Parts: sequence; structure tokens; C-alpha cells
Amino acid sequence: MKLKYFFIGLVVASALTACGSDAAIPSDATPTDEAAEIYPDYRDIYIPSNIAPLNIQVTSGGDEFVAAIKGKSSEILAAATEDGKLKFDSTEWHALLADNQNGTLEVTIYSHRDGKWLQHPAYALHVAEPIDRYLSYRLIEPSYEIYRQLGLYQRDLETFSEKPIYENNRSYDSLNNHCVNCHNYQNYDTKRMLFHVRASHGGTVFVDNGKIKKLNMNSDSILSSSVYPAWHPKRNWVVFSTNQTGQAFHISKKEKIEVMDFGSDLIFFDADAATSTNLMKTDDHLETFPCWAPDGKKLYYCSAYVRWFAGRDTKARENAITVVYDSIRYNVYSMTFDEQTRTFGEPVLEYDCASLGKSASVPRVSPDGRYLLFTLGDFGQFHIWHKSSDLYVKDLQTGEVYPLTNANSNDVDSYHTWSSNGRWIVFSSRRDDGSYTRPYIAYFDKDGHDHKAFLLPQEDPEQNLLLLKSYNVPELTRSAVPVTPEQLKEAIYDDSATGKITYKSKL
Amino acid sequence: MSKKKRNDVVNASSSAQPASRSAAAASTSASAGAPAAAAKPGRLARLPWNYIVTFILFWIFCYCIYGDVFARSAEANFITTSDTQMKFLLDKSWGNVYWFSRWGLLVFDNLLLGSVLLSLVLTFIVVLADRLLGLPKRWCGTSALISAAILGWMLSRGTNLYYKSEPSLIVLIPVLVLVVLAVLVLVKWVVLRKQPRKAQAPVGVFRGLFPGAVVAIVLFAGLTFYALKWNENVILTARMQNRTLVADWQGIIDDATSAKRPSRAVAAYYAMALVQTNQLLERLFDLPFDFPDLELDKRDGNEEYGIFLTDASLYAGLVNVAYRCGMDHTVVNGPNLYYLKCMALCAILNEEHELARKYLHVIGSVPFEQDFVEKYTPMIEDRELVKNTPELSCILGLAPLEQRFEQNYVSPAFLGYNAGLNTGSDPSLVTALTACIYSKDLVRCEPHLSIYAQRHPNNLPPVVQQALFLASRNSPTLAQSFPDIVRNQQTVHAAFIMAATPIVEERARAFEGKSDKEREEIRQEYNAKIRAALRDDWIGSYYYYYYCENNDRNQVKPAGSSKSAVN
Repeated sequence: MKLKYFFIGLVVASALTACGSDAAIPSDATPTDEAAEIYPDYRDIYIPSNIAPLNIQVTSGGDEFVAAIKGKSSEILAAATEDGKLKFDSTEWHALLADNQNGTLEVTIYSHRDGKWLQHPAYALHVAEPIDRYLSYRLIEPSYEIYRQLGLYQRDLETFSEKPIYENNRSYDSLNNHCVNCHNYQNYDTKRMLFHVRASHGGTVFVDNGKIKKLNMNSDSILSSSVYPAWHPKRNWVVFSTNQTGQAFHISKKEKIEVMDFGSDLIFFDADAATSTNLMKTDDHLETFPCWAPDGKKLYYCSAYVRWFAGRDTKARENAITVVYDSIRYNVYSMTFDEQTRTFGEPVLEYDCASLGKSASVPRVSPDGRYLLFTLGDFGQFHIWHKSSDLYVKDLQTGEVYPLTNANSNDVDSYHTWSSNGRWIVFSSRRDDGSYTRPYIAYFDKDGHDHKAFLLPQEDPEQNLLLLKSYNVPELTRSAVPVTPEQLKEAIYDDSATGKITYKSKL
Repeated sequence: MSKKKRNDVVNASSSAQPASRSAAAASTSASAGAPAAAAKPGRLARLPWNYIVTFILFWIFCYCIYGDVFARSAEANFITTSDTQMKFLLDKSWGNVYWFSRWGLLVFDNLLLGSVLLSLVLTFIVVLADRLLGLPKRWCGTSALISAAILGWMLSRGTNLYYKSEPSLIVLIPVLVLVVLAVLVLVKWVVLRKQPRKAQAPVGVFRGLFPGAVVAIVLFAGLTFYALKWNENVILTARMQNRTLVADWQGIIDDATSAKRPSRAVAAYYAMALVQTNQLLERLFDLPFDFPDLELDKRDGNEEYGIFLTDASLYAGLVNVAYRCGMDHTVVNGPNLYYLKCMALCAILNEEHELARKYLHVIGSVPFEQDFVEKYTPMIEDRELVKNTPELSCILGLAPLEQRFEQNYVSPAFLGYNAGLNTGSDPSLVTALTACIYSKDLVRCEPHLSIYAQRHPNNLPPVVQQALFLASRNSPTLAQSFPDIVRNQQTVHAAFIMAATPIVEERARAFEGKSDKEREEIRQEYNAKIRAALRDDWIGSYYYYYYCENNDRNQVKPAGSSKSAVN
């Protein structure tokens, strides 16, 4: 009998303590000039009108907290105990945003400290255009050459739902160990997508309107495996870079890893015919990072001229790269493309980074065709390991090139994607701790100005502090991936069904 | 109890041995209200002495003999309440079970508590197994075979008990066995409860120990013998790693010098401790360098070196290399408290403040790790605290001054870097010199020897003098620069050669008429004989090491041989 009452009491006590503070604005709060320290930093930013709640954790001390977000005619509240985690109700949040499109929300935080409530200075959230609903990325440790559990994931930006697109083998298995990377979609649509599989069950997986096939993309006439993809916006053609890549580990620099190409070319892949053709094949230029203009009439790419490489074989280049790596600088080029004849024009220099002592990577053209976004670092091309890397934009109408000063940080800012409406940029940044990459979202207004970037929101605001994986290659899409991980696994593991491309010497 | 049964008990008692008869008489007279003093032997006899002895022996094993290994397993434990952080485990087969057992492994954060609890579990296994088998009281305890088998399995795993394996198995397996036995005993009780039970007379204290406790004693002796004879390096490695966490360098030195045939890991931690205590050149070769082959699970090709590479790199001043090793371990095996702590230290040493904060935050989410977090958090912002912490200051003193890549040096980096060093700080002169003479690369050694000898003319360690002498045989410059040393060492060297000559000549005779393959086998055999013949008199000298030890030509990989692919 006593035990029964004991358990009832335990359950009641648990229920009472599990309940957070009541969400009510304290009436006796004293205004203070001290700004509440919050993580993530969501202060004074532009946010998409369809984004999930921006839950935050107050880190400036206190035993209770309340946050109030006020719109033009409504207000929502959230409360927290001493853990400081303020989580907004999703329904209320979305209603507030819908009610305040193109408006400004005022966020006020209250903290209870030393027996009294303090009201911290308010900050603003500007509600702007919506963003594409889905963000894909790979989750992998900021590792060196070894990998284990990794996967491609798709996050619904309107909620906190994250679902696997594909995860590799969960337990170590020497026969089945493989890596996946370079996921890519045609024109923000998941009807056509691809990603590479490396090591066991290697190949490139193509998904085309629900049909999955795996292809062996190698050919004796092609430099190496296909790497960075760029899907033509309308046709089933993909331009890949093909790269000979190595990496070396700094013995003392904080940047730790240097990833270097000692050979790279561009290839044109006709996905319907499964044929590949060398597009740019030189031994003294390193061509990489292809990107189509939104109308499909131009191809942008990066290229570095390395005079010493001319006439030298692979081994010689590989041996030399660790000596010359910091003198290799990539410029941005473009070539016109005639869809009817499948011919490319002559390369045109879009931005001469080398003459400025800089090096570009990952050119991406905005959906309206006006802006060319790229990452600029001091040298090389794998800028995720270069703290000097920042986002830059070239106005293709005026020719002006400028940094995204408000979006950039003092640490790595790299790999980026435009939203389909051209108003948002999602990019990879290591500003949090210099090592673990996180996806940041920045508004890019119609006048070509960038705004302060903010971290992808999570249901638990502490999640990004605890997660020991990096977010790689953020890509926005309008729709969810239509195939299941199980379907992809079946295709990947079925090596007998792996197709082989045919090499064609001309397009 | 029926009258008949009561009479049976009394009759059984009265027909027992004299000691027991007096105990039985005492018990019956006690029930008739006899004085309390006469009941004591009965009470003592009723105590489960077999189980008490079994528990004590298990506890001695778990705490004193193998406690360091269990404590090290607890250091490998990473467990939090966050699904995000534990996804690496929950995604695996049996991941949910391991999640629970990792909470159980936390008891070993306090070794005394953990060893008592584990011993209790092991003892209850014996109790339940005895019950299940229905053993008579005198034989109770013989089921210790089951618990001993569990401990035997742990011994057979060696370092893989916690290294690149699920560390909570030391808790999970005993608990699972206990649960299974409990269920079986319960089933047996349900099935048999209506059947009459055979009453057992209590036996005397001393006789009660036979044969059950004897079985436990024999098993304990066997396990202890196995542990100390074949798992000495396992125990020492775990103990040294535990000591590294608290910077107990003298303890590490004492552990290493007690080893009969130290493994690479033991030698590596010994070297780290010597660096920290400025005794590297004076004492490195006091250890025999005849590494045994270790049986480790094959995972990523980096099995044996992986045990100590992270620490060896860190304490050699190669913070980036240590961080990489820690990250590699994290990637392949999932987050591990031991390596997270190392990575946190690397971030602090590298002045990567936010990264250090992140790691300390992650470590702080594991129960009972606040001490570590509180100790190192202030160091993030206060560099003076770092410089005033001796072990960290020593690491900073060895930091590379060259801006090169790890791949420019022979692997493993903590040796290759030092052996290949051209410019460095004063502390790194010692490590560079040591790496060269350890590698027997006397040509590369020459400039280091020369500089070191010039700086320490009056107190040159004997090992350095001996290395200088050997190097001078091919270097007239050295010979001319240090004529006194060369002259003195000629005598010592000659004495060593004279001591070695008989057995070397015996080997030469054995070679006669043999093929290359047979000679290689003879060489291996005589390597051991030569070491045995010379060890007592010459261990600690460089001549002994140079001619007799560490002769595996394939243990060091050349620079650039590890190709790096990008994920």
C-alpha cells in the first residue's frame, strides 16, 4: 500500500517538475541595457516567412526566462526554466509570420535573476519572402581521410523534420563500407537528382522521375572520377568536373587540412545516352566547379593556370603539389552554350582573382541570371579549410564585384546555394567554432544587398553545440526527394546492375 | 513443517560429524531456550561463506588485479541523454541495449564502487546458478565457473575490451547472464514449488568452505595468473593511460620499468613520461625494446599504433597530429570520452577558443565529468594558466617551428617529425636527438649530437656519449670534435663487443652451410639469445639497444606512403 502511494507521489512530482514555467510576460520586469546573450544569434535578421520557429537558448544567466515576439496585431510567448531554452509553438509561430509578411517582429526577452525580472532590449526579426521548403546536406565529421557513419539528409525548413535521403552502412563492414557525396538536383527539383558513391559499391546514382540507376562514370579517356556536378536547367545533361585530388595535413597551422587538385578537367555527360565527352582537357590548367546559367546558355567554371604542370605526368604533379599549392589561384570563366548544336564558345574571363592574389571556387548564378555568387580565398579551391574564404558576388549587369559583408564572418564562409526565388542564400560556415560546418541562411534583397546570416534553426537550440558532425553541401529544393533510402540502398548494393558510360570524343 | 520431517532433520543432524553435531545440538538447545553464547557457531555456520569468499575474491580481481582496465573502459564511455549525440550508437545493431549498458558503465567512474557492484553481480550469478542446479550446500560456489568464464572472456579481449569496441560489455554481459539465470530460477521455482524440498543440514564454518570456495580460490588464482602473465601489457597500458589523464608521470615510469616485456604502447607512454620529467636521454633505454606481437581486432589497419598515437603525438608537441588521431578515432568508433578530452586539450593548446568550448560542452553533457570541464574551462581565456600547467607547458615548448605537412615526415609522426627535424626549440633538440638515436639513424643524428654535446660538455648522458662514439666511426668531424668521449667510449664499446663475441661466434657457426631462409630463422632465434645473454649487464646502454634491440626493419613507413583521399 505504501509503495503504491509512493509511486503515485513520484509520478505527480515528476509531472509537476516537468512542466516549464508558465509563459506570461512578467508585469514587474525592470528594463535593463544589458542585451540578453542568446544562442544562436538571431538578433536583427531577415527571416523567410515560412521558416520553422527560431528557438533560442539564453546563456546570460538566470533561473527563468520568457520571450515575447510581437507582430502588428498579435504576440506569441515562450518560457524556459534555468536551461534557458525558449521554444515557440509551431502553429502560433507560423500564424504570426503569416500575419506579418514583409513586416517586422519585435522580440523581447525577460530573465529572472537574483529574485527579480529583467527586461532586455528588444531586437527585430524582419519577415521577408519565403524560402524553398527543403534543404539537403550531408552530415559527416570534419574528418581527414577516414569516414564511417555518414549520410545525405533532407530538412523541411518549415518544420524541424530531418529525414535521411540515404545513410551508409551503420556498422563497420569492410565489404560494404562506402561514402556518399556531391548530391545535386536539376533546377531545385528533386525529380532529377544524383550523388556519388565511393569505395564499395562505387558509382554515381541517378534518380530520374522515380527511376534509380547507378553508373560507373570512369573511362580511360577521362582524367579521373566525376566529381562536382552542374545539371543543365532544362536538358538531361550534366557537366562534371573530374579531379585528381589529394590532401595533406598541416603540422601546425590551425587550418589543419589542405585539399589540393593536381589535375582537373570538365566533362559533358549526356544522361539519356549515358555518354561522356571531355569538355575541357588540359594539362596546365585546372578546370573545375562547373555551373550553368539559369537559362542554360552559359557555363561558368573556375580555372587555374599552373605553368609548371605543362608536359608533366600525374606522378610529377602529385609530388609537386604540396610545394606549389599556395601559389595556385583560380579565376572565374564562362563559355556560351548553344543548346541546339551542343557547342561551347570560347572561355571568357569573368573575374581575374589571380591578379588580386585571390582564388575563387563554386560559382553559382542567381535564378534571375543577374548575380554570380562565389567563394573567394587566398589560394586553392577547397575553401572549407581556408579561414580567409568569404562570399563574393559579381553583378553580371554592371560588372561590379563585392563581398557579402553582412553575411560573411571572420572564419570560413563557403559552399553556397541560391533559393529558387533568388532571395536567399544558404551557405556553409565555420564561424561557430572554426571546425564544425553549419548551414547559415542570409537574405539577398532585390537591390543586390546581403543581410546578416543566421543559423539553421533547430527544435533544441543546443543541438548545434552538441552535434559532432558538419553539414556539407547545402542544396535547396522545392520538393522532397521522391525515393526512399531503402530504394536507393537496393540500387547501390546491386553492383551487377551498375551501368557503364560510353566515352564519345565529340559532343 | 510436519513432525516427521522435523524428526528427520534432528536425526540427520545427530548423524553428522562431531563438529556439526555440537552445532546441531546447540541449535536444538537454542530453540529450547538455551543460553545465546551456544548459538554462535550455528549462526556462523549458516552464513554463506562460499559466496562471501567468492565475492571477496572477485572484488580483489576487479579492483586490484584488473581494476585499471575497467577504469580505462569507463574513460572510453560516452553516454548522454541526447538522441542527436547518441545516434552513432542507436543506429547500430543492439545500439539501444548498449545505450542502457553505457549508463551502467558509469559506476566505474568510481573504481571502488564499480568493482564492488560488478563483484556482487558475479557473485549473484554464482548464487543463482547454484540454485538452478540445485547444488548441495557444500558444493555451493562451484558455479563460480560461470562468472570466471565471464572474467576469462574479458581477459581474452585484452586491450580490445575498451579499444575500438563497445566498452559497456563489461557490465552488459554479467548483467545479462544474471538476468537469464534469474529468469530460469524463477521458472524453476514456479514449476517445482509444490514439490517437497530436501532439507539441508548446516555445515560448520570451515567445512562449509569446501569444495565451493576452493573452486573459487582456484579460479581466482587462474585468472590472476593469466592476467599478470599474459595481460601484463594490457593492464599496464590501461593504467598508464589513466595516469596520463592526471599527469602522474612518475607512476608511469614505475609501471614501465616493472614490465617484463613491454609493448610498444608501454614504451611510448614511458617515453612521454620521460619527456615530461626531463629524463628522456638518461633513461629511455632502461626499458627492453623487444616488442611482443599483440592480438588486436582488425579494424582500420592502425590497430597497435592507434592505442597510443594520439597521446604520443600530443606529448611530442604535435597538437595537430594528436587532434587528427583523436578525430580519426571518433569517426571510426564514435565519440569516446578519452579522445574527446584529448581533442579539447588540443583546441586549448591551439588557442581555438570556441572549439575548446564546444568540446568541453560536449564532455560536460556526460555525467560526472564536471571536474574536467571546471579544470580546463578557465584555460580557454587565460593563456597563463596553460603555461603554468607543467604538462601543457611542456607540450607548448615542443611545438613545431617548421610550417610543413605531416606527410613530409616518416610515419608515425611523433617519431618521424622528430627524426626529420631541422629547426626547433631547445626542448625539441632532446626529442629530435632521441628520435634519431632510437631510429638508429646516426647520420641524421650527427648535427644534433654535436650541438647537444657542445651545450652539455660536463654532464653528457652515457647514452649520448655512446651514440656519439658509434656515429664518429663514420664521421671524422665528430671524432675530432670530441676526442675524449671517443677515447673513453672505445673501452666501453670494446667491453660490450667482447661480451657479445661468444654468442655471435656461435651464431656464425650456426650459419655455416645454411640457406638464406634458414639463416634468417637462425638470426631470429639468436637475436633472442643474444639479448638474454647481454641484457642483465648491458640494458640501459645504447650499445645494447643499437646492436640487439628493435631490429624490425618494417615498422616505420616512409614519408608520403600514406595516400590521402578526400571524403
